[in-house]
Amino acid sequence: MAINKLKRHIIIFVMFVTLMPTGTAIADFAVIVNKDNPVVSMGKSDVKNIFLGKKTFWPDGSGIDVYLQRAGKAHRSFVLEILRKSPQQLSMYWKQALFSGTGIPPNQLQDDQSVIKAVADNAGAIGYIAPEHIDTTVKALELK
Amino acid sequence: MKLSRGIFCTFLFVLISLQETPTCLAFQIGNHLSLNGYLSQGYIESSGNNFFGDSLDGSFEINEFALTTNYIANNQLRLGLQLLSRDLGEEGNNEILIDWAVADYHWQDWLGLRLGKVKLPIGLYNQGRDTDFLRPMVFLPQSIYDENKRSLLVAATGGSIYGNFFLGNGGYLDYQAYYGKVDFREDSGQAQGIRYLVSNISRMKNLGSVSDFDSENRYVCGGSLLYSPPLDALRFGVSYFTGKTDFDFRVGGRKGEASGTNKDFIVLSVEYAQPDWKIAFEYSEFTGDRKALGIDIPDGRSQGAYVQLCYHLYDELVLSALYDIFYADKNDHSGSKYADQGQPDYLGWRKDFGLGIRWNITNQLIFKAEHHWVDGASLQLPIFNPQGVEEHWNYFVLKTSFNF
Repeated sequence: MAINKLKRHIIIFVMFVTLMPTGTAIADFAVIVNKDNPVVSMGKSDVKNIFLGKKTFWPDGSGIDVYLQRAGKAHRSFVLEILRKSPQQLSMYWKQALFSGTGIPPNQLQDDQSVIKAVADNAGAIGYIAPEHIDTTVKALELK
Repeated sequence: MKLSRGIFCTFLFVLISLQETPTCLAFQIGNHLSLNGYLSQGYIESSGNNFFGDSLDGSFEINEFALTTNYIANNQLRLGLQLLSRDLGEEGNNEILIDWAVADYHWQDWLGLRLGKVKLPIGLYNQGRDTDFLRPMVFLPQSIYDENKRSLLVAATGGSIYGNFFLGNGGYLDYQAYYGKVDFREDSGQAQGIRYLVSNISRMKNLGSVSDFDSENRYVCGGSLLYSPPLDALRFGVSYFTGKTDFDFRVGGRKGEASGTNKDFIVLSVEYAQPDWKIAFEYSEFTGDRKALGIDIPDGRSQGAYVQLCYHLYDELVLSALYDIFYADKNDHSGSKYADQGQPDYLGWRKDFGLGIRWNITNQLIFKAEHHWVDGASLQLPIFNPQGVEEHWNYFVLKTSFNF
């Protein structure tokens, strides 16, 4: 009797685990750059270094302008998956730089539309948005 | 820099009240100029010993107010300034000082230059030590971030170079190196420590009273390396600091001299930070070589270490636990040197176990509460307790902070 109960629990557990979202599903964000930017793909570690202020120049030597979002699903997903931080840890990271005189946080915009406009208007810009909001004014990078 | 505290605080309050939804970059003016700041106020109460001011009776002398401005000239040049008013017991008294002021030229990612008054990279957290909301607990671990040494370790007027190297699949390496001079305040823990030492020697030798005390730092220099391996969330650090300070005074009407060479302050650091929890461990050694009135003080080489664990119960609620240990002499953990001089042996160590809670009410507003149980009275505790120090004592702190 006890063995049957154990079996039932194992089956329920296996069903639960296999039905859980695996994290390999389609990302909730897309990294975008200006249409004129020759870069078409980028490693995730490079994206991370750019958004943490470690890498500040494009391959042609021009400066990178980073646009963060303040909140939202794309923001949370991007920060957790690419930067490996919680949104609050990211906020603290940049405040530490700001108040210790060692750096200044990137621009923070309100929503996807603001990021698309900023990236479309700035040849050196990079940002992230929800994939369903990508339009022809910006270019999505392939992440490796 | 003689702005009155009242004007400064009023200015901050008006700035904050002007904004409806404060954000980190609440006062960005165009793409070039930004204005930020923070305010914090705490309450500290202890039993057994005073800990920074008259904490035995409960003290509100624990606060920081800062106003920060940055002007971005272009992608490579930034001018920045932070004014800071702080109070911690007898130190600070809310006089407004320049905390840091830099011209920062970021030539390449691997090389940048900061000139002006720069914050010193010691351990993982020294550069952010005055900003309450960056810390999980109210005080940074005192074994390494001793508040009595703050004025010596926090910032120097001079310059620094910095940068980072990408190591391919091996992660990346950040470095900083600096050289400069420290502007000592007479109420700083460092100056108080030497004054206390000189007064004791003078009393033993019947030399008379000590007056006209003046401090002059000759130099500080050092640097840090921070390695982030490919494994996310892990980083290793090593930092080095050294410096020399001279002190002039009059004792019994005659001129007296003292010096303090803070040699070979080394901090080794490890931090592992996941989105919902973090553990940090740091170890340090420090040699204080003091001379006063012709007497060489055998300070020895101190030793400190701590481990701190932070766990996010929710996004808004963080629990922290700290075990922090300091020995005044790494070769004398039992304090026998003090006992031989007729002093309590527990001046030779300080072991602090603390538990704290941090409530992130909003992104801008936080509240902290914590309690610490301490064994030992090292780290200059006698200065605040002329009546004598107790071995076992406690303190608790409440603090709230706002930033914009």
